[in-house]
Amino acid sequence: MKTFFKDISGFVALYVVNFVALLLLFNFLSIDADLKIVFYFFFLSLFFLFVWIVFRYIRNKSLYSNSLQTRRGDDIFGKGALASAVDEMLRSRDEENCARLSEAIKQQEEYKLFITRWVHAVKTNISVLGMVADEINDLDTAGVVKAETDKILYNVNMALNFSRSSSPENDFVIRSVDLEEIMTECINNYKSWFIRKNIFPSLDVPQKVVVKSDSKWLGIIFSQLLTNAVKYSEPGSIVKTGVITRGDEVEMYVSDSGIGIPLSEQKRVFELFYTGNNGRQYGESTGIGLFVVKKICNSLGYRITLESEPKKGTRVGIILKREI
Amino acid sequence: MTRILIIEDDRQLCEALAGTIRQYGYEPLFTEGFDALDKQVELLKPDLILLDIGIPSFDGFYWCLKIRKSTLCPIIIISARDSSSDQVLALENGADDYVCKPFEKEVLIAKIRSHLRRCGDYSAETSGSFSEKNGLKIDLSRMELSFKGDNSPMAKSIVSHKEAIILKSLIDIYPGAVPRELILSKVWDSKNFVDENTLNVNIARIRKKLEEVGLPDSLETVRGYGYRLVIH
Repeated sequence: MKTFFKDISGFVALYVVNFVALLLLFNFLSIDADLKIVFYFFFLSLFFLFVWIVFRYIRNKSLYSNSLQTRRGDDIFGKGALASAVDEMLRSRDEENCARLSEAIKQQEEYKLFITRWVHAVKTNISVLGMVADEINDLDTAGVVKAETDKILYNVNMALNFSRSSSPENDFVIRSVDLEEIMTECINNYKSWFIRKNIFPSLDVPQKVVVKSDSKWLGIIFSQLLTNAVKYSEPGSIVKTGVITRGDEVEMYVSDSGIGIPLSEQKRVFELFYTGNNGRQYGESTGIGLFVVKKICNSLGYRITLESEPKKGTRVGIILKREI
Repeated sequence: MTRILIIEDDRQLCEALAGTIRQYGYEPLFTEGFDALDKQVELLKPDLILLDIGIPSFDGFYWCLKIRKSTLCPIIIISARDSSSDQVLALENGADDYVCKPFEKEVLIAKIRSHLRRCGDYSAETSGSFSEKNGLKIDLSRMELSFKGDNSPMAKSIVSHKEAIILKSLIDIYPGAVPRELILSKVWDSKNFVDENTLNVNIARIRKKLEEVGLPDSLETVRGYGYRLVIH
């Protein structure tokens, strides 16, 4: 109703101005008109105005009603010229937006597929490099080649995880997962990296813990925390990992005694492309890993805790529910 | 000799795989092109098949199913696809195992061995399981360290699995030195991970075993590098 009054207020104002101007003109020209005739004009014009307003209201009834947003379909606003025009405009804009959106979605899907295919192709090359590196006689050179091959694999996996993490729920396969089994597997995957950096892992799982989760994504989360810990630790140190059970909550943690994160940066480490001071100093940080971790945790409904003190170390915990 | 058929379209990977397979005492076979793979398998009669998913013509799943119809030999899929649905699909199409690229050489060999064992092939297990240099001998099948000097009787000592593995690499490389990293990776247990302590304990035990067979002070530390044997 509000829209209606606003809409007609212009006409009413124009009518009033017009009428006053007419009276003033009569007065100015000193036309000696009969008061009855003036009233006749007044009532007649008022009557037409009224009829026109009622007609307009009926024609554009739905345009004035408040339930606009909920209605869909053809001629949302009615048959009137104004309503049809609005209908037409909205419909064409809607079509345009839909086309643009579906084009963007299609491109996004193609891009994701491209990343996946590309990563798979590169992994074949990495396999070859890894096997050939064993045949290099010069142990120093072999070490460098292996270390760099591992880094390529790490970065390539990061690309894949990032592209998958934009909608991880499409990819979830929820099953019963033994946490110790997954953590052991991840640690063993990084065996050569641990040994090369002279950093030692420990795994502390006091009792068997089985959660309902997606083993692949859980592995990606844990691997990311593990590689961060190794990356920012000094040779000779220990990376402690483990599981703590509290009621129906389970915490999976990775704790290192590495360089730590300043308090001012702790809030931002989960932001995309945020590398912080450590990243600038070490130059190997991409600001992607923890972002992906956060994203997956959000989708799975897990909480993340982070405690860190510069030069003392960092402890990251993922708090899972046993059942989700 | 046990023959392993490699079906993989990346030539470099084929060669690297073939090299590894030869190293462990198996004979690598290849296909000619990627058509009628099931017929080729029937002709070649391999003992085990390594199959890639992303091969030209039809994909690995298709061929796996076709090959499975005519033979019972173990098929291990090697693929870069790491999603669980791909692994499930592979196993449901008749594959026996799934290895994701890139893989550790040792893991692949261990899987090949375990599948061959299940088929009753122990040939590669016993060959190359002992090493001997200058009278010092380690026998992996008996877990036995023995030494016979020029003018001394034969002395024997029983060693643990880890000690045997370390001793084998020390003897193999003799008179060279084994880098610390290599020893660490050999004693890395997939259940209880290695640390400095594990290494030191193992080295101390090995020194003791060497003393028992009449070779005291024969395991030298090479500073900043690793360890080497000195047999007088």
